[in-house]
Amino acid sequence: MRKGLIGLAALVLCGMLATEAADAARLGGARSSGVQRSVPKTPPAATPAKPAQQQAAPNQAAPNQAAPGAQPQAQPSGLARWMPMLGGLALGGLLGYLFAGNGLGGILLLVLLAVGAVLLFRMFARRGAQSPQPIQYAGMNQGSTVAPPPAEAPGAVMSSAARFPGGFDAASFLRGAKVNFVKLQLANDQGKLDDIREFTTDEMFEALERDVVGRRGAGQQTDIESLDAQVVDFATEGAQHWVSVRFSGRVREAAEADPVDFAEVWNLVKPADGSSGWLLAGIQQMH
Amino acid sequence: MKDQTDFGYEQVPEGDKARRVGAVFDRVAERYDLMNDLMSLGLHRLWKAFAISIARPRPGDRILDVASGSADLARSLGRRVMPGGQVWLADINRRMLERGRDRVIDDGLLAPAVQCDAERLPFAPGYFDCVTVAFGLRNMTHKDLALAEMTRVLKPGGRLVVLEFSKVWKPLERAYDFYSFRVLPWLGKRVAGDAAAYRYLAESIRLHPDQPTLAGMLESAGLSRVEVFNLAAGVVAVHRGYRI
Repeated sequence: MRKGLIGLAALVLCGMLATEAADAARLGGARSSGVQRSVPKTPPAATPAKPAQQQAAPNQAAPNQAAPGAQPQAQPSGLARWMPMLGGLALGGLLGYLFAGNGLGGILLLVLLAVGAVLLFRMFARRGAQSPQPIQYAGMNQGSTVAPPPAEAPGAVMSSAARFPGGFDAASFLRGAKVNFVKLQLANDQGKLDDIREFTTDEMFEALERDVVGRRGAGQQTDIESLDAQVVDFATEGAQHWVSVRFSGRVREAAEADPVDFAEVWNLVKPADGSSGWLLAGIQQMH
Repeated sequence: MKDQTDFGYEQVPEGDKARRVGAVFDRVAERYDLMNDLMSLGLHRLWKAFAISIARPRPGDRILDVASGSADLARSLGRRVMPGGQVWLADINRRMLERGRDRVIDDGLLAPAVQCDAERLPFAPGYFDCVTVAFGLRNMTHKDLALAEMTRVLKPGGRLVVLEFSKVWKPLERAYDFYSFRVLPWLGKRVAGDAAAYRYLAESIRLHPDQPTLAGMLESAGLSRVEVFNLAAGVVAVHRGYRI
C-alpha cells in the first residue's frame, strides 16, 4: 500500500516536472526576448499556398478575427478528409465481393470506380481552385490582408517584392528561415552553443545561452509537428535590414506532452553591406 | 536490339528513358499528389503506411528514400527515426525533389535532399540502415543496377523495401486493364491535363516484373531473406530483402 502511494506520488511529481519543462522547452523558452519590433498582432489572412497539405492546418487565430470580407480559408471538412480513405474501403469491399466470384462484379466495380473518381475529382477541383494563393506580405500592405483572386496574383507579388532590396527571393528566404528555425531548436535541445552563436546577435545569444546553462546540460527534445513561416515586415533602418518572420505551427515540447499551437515572430537583422548573414535579434510571442 | 529499353509500350534508346520519364514528372509534378489520391481512391496512403511498417524504422536509423518524389514516405519515416536518426531524400527529378524538400520542412523535419540517379548513388557503401523506394523502381532504366546500388549503400543487416505496382490477381485482370487504359488516361487528361503521362503509367505497370521475378532480382542484387507482401490483390506489392 505504502509502496503504491510512493509510486503514485513519484508519478505526480514526474508529471509536474514534465509540465514545468514543457513551459520552457523551445528556443527562447516560449518567452519574448531580445529586440522587439512593431508587427501586426494578428496573422495575415493569406497563408502561403500549400496545395498538398492533407491534414487540417492548426487554426492559428480565431477565424472571426479575420479581416472583414476575407475569403473563408479552404478548410477541408471532416468528411472531405476521410473521403480518400472511404473510397479505399469501398474498393476493398468491392474486391472482396469480387473474390466471391460473381460475374457481375467486374461491371459493378467499373461503375463504382467511375462514380468514386468523379466525386473525388469534384472535391479536389474545388479545393485546388482555392489553394494557390500567393505569399502576401501583410506588413507591407496594411489593411489589405485579403487574399487577392488568383488572376491578380502575379501583380500583387511583384508590387510587394519590389519593396524588398534587389536579390531578395522571399520563397527561398522563407525556406531557409524554416530550416534555421528547426536547426536552432535542435541546437537548443542539445545545448550546442556554438551552433546557436552562428545564427544570433551577441545580445540574443547571451539570453539564449542563459537558458541552456540554466538547464545545466540536461538534454530535451522539441518535436515540431508542423511549421509555417511568413514575412510580416521588412525595413531598412540605417545600415541594417530588418525582417520579421512569423513562425507558426504545432510543437511538442516534451516527450510526454501534447502538441501545442505556437506563433512567434523572429526579428532578423542583417548589415546592409552584406558583411554577415541574417541573425536572430529577438523573439516575440504572438499568443 | 541491345541498347533499346521500354518506355511504356514504346521502345526508346536507353539513353533517352531517364529524360522522357523526367519529362513525364515535370508535366505532372503540380498535380501529382492529387492524382495519386484519385487514381488509387486514396489507397496509396494505406500502401505507403504498410511499406513503412515493413521497413521498421527505429530511432537513430539512417534511411535513404530513393525516388522520394513528394516525400510521403520520408515525412513519415523522419518522425520515426527521431531522436538521432536521419532520412535522406533522393530523386532524379528536380521539381519533384523540391516539392518533397518543401513538404518535409513544413513538417518541421530536417532531411537532406539529393538530386541523383538511383543507378549511381553518391553514398559510401554501408551508409544506411534502410533504403526505401516507393513507386520509383518501375521508372528506372536499369532496374538491376539500381537494386545493386541500393544494396551497396546498405549496412550489413540493413533492409531494402520496394513498394511498386505488381501483377494483379488473374480474375481481376480485365477490370484492371479497363481501369488502367481507359479511366486513368481520361482522369489524367481532366485533372493533370496530360493523358499521355498516365498512359505511360499504365503501360509501365504492365511491363514491370511480377512478384516472383522482382524477388529474384532482389536476390541477384545480393539481398537475402527476400519476402513479398501483396496488397489489393497484387495491384501493388511490397518486397523486402536484407543485406546479410
